[in-house]
Amino acid sequence: MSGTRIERTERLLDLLLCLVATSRPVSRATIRSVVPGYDSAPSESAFERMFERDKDELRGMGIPIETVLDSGGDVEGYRAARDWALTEVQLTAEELAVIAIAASVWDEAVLADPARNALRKLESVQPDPVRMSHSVAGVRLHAQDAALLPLLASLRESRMVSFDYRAANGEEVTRRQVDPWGVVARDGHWYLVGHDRDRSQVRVFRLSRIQGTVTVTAQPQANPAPSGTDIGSLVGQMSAELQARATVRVRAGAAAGLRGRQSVDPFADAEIEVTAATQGQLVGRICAAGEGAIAVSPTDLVQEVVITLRTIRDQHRGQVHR
Amino acid sequence: MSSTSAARLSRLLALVPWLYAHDGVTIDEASRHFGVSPAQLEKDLWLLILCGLPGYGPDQLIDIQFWGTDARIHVIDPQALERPLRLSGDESAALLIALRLLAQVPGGHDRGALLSAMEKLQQAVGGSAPDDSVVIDSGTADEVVQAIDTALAGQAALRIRYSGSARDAITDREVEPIAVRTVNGRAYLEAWCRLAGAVRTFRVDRIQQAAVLDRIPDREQAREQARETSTSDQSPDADDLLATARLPQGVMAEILVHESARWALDVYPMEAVAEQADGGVVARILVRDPQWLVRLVLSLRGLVVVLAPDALRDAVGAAAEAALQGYDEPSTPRPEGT
Repeated sequence: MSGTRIERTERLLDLLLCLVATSRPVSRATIRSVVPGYDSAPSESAFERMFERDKDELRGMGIPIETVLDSGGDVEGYRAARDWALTEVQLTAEELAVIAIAASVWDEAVLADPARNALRKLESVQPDPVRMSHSVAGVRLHAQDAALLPLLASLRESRMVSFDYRAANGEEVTRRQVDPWGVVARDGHWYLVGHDRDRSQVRVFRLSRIQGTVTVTAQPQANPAPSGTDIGSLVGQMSAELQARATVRVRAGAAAGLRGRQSVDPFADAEIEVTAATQGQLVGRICAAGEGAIAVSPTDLVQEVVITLRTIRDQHRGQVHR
Repeated sequence: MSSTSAARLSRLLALVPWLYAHDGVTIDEASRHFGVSPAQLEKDLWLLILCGLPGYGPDQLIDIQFWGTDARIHVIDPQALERPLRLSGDESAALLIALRLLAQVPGGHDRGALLSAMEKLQQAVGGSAPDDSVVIDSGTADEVVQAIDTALAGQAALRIRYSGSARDAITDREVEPIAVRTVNGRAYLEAWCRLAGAVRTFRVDRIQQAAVLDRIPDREQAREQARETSTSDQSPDADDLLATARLPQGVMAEILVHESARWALDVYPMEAVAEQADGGVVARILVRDPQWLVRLVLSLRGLVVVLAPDALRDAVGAAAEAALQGYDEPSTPRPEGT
């Protein structure tokens, strides 16, 4: 073998096999002398660099490499944790077929690659999936927001995150420190719900407004969600985006858009609360309901609705002069 | 930050167990499954048989046979690699989140398999699975999904409460489901609508309630109608035209778009025809349902004005006038014959 330069992939695979083959930790010295590829290291420090890099690479792939200390606190050696391999999962062909569809749901978004890799792993221990025609095959989840991956990791590890966030109504970008409670996909957007440490309040953040990368800090979660918290319902209620409110009287059976998912009887006149990011948006939504909705308060919003409707009426009066 | 070596190692670690479980596949089949060229796959195999457990004697190396006239692959000894790597946190999250989304979409897929697959995956990954902290809100209540599934499976009719977009109205109607389709990631229920006496397409997330009714006596009529219309009305922009009477060819309206509403050109099916000196633009927009255009113009707060045809101009003006009646506005009679 000597003289042949060993490919790095080969060295990594041999290192992995060396670490999984034994339940006893393998010392660095043993690794250096045994695993092909390290013999080409010209010096102890060159070997150290190669080995550190390889170890990080394997860990980056999700392989749990344990560092075992001896009674004196020195590193005795390394080994792969017992659960490095996929546990026995017995999937039926139908279950695997559904998982294959699930893996295709991610729309070339950040989670498309992990989904494909996961499918490949599951397929490798199962019979070939039955190809079924599913009407759900066209369902898509969008997660272009690169923030999703670190946020999911922070939730798994219960750690605080920090990121730069651009407010809904301006250019202002502020650094936020958040104890994450959960992420929510709704209406094509992803939201983070969490406890904002600087504001000491629960806040909702839209992932597409996060600037740059999300840092998963070493700090453990300090303000976890009270048990039984319905993360999903928080997004609708307290999104920081929803800063305009109005009371609106809606006619029976009408104003479906304004009523949204409110639980009032749709076939009765009702007075409902409506929210939007800005007053302008709210005015637009109320006007769009036409005679199906009458703004009740606040006064300045009611006036704006009336002025807007008058403008539109006058714009569409008579013939166009051009 | 994975290197090319790591990417290749990932493939190798998935390749061995897959080949072990699929004894006798050809190099072509394997390369297709892993999305690499046959030449690359052969290189992978050559690399694998050089690797093994410390000692590296004949019994300690990975043993794969892939020569011979039929070029079929047989894994004789996978050493420690008969199972793939465990799922990473991202990988299990990607699958479980997607499965949870699928569970919220009706449409006659194998719900039993879906739920058991979720359970098994969750078990396989132990504590690292997302739970209450990841919410996929498709906007559809579980009861609605189940009712649609039941109706499709048992060929039964449904009573639905539908929150229509174009008419902005909530209606209760009886429908005979034909199929669930997804367009641009959204689920739609295609059904014979007894109220309209025609096939209609309903956005599933706008169905607020659904209850299963009687069995459908004869679906031939609905199927026939579905065949006639299914090609024309599934355009990506059809969202707001659904569950309304469709004018198959629609009418072209001319509108003046104010400078500060130019974004609407990208959002709605509009086409700019003449730039204005003040930064505005005259555009054409395809209108299949007059009420849809009226609502669109009202929502744009005076930044869009309908120029033609007169019937649509009048409809917008009349809608604004009608809305003003709710505010003690003095009614302004429209001058006749201008």
